Amino acid sequence: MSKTGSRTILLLTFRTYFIRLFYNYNNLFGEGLCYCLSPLLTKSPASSIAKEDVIKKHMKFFNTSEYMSGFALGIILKNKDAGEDKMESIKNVLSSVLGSIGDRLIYKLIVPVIVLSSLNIFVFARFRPDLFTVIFILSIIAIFNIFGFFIRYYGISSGLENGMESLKVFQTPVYKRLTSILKTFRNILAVILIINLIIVVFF
Amino acid sequence: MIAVPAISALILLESRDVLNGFLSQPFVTSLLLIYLGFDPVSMLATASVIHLIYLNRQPSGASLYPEFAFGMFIVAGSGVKQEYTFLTSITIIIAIIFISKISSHILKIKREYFEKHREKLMFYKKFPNVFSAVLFTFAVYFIFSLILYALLSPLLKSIQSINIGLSSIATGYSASAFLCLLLALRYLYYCLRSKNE
Repeated sequence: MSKTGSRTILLLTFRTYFIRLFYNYNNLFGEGLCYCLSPLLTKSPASSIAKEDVIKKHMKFFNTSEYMSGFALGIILKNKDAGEDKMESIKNVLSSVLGSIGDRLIYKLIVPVIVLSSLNIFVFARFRPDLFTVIFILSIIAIFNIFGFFIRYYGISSGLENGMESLKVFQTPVYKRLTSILKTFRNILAVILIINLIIVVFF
Repeated sequence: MIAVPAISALILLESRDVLNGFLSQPFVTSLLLIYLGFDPVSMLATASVIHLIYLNRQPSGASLYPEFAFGMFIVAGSGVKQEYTFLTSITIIIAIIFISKISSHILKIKREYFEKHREKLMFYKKFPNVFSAVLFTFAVYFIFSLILYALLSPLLKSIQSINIGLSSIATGYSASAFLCLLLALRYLYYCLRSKNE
């Protein structure tokens, strides 16, 4: 963190928004990882040689969740001088851990909460959107995108500072409590939606 | 003619390749369709059904994940602007499911083609290049969307004119709301059953 300024972290954060663009069946996120890492790893006078080195070292199998890719970038940059074997083992751990965390947190909890909240608003309004519906949808999208940006930025800075230790944030009691609250909230929203729909359909 | 396929291509790009900021999800794009003049009730009811169908599915790069965000916009955008009849409502939902599935196969073919020609389409001087990758990806999606629009538009418009005599008993709206109820019950059952979260 001390060596990498906030401007560089910001640049890396923006690059993570394109990590999925290079997704392929040979190395999954390997090419996307090269794209994200390139500005930091090629800051050398002989940049064409440095670029080839980046490709040689990182264009291999790598999996992540796009939302958690910040942690991957930070941790890989923290260990950029590690040997090939150590880097491979780090990437193997990241591939399995980050994909799983991303799927559980984003697609099983946050996305259903967002979607069910929106659908409840739609049903409340009897599928006739008013100004409140539009403001609610735009607000929820803005909040999700602020969160998406924050988790990427935080992941990079935390990974750069703490390396693999940064992943321990997902084992803290606060994180577990947060996921438990989200799970309960999601189930409550599903129940409210069902009650709402019963009223709409039968009354 | 061009607006719906162009926005559909952008939706597929956003939901699959770049940003992933949820801007392309049906609950957002249905509002855009309403702004473009489509019937509000039909759009929101259809978007709700589609979300509830796919809510327990997780996008995975390697599997053929249905591109329902794209499917919703291209199918609804190709259809009629007035309120859906019962038959149109059912047809639109089936068409979205079908197009979403087809789109996942097209995406797979596109990825395999890009892997073969990565130096020309995605790289610049042997390095991943975001501009060429976005440009060619959008071009592929736009051509695909344009073909779908040309095929779907006359078909969906002709279905709206068919009267099956159910309009006073079950409108498209009430059919969608009932379908939403069943799907919401299924989703709640899925949530309560799955312990490993």
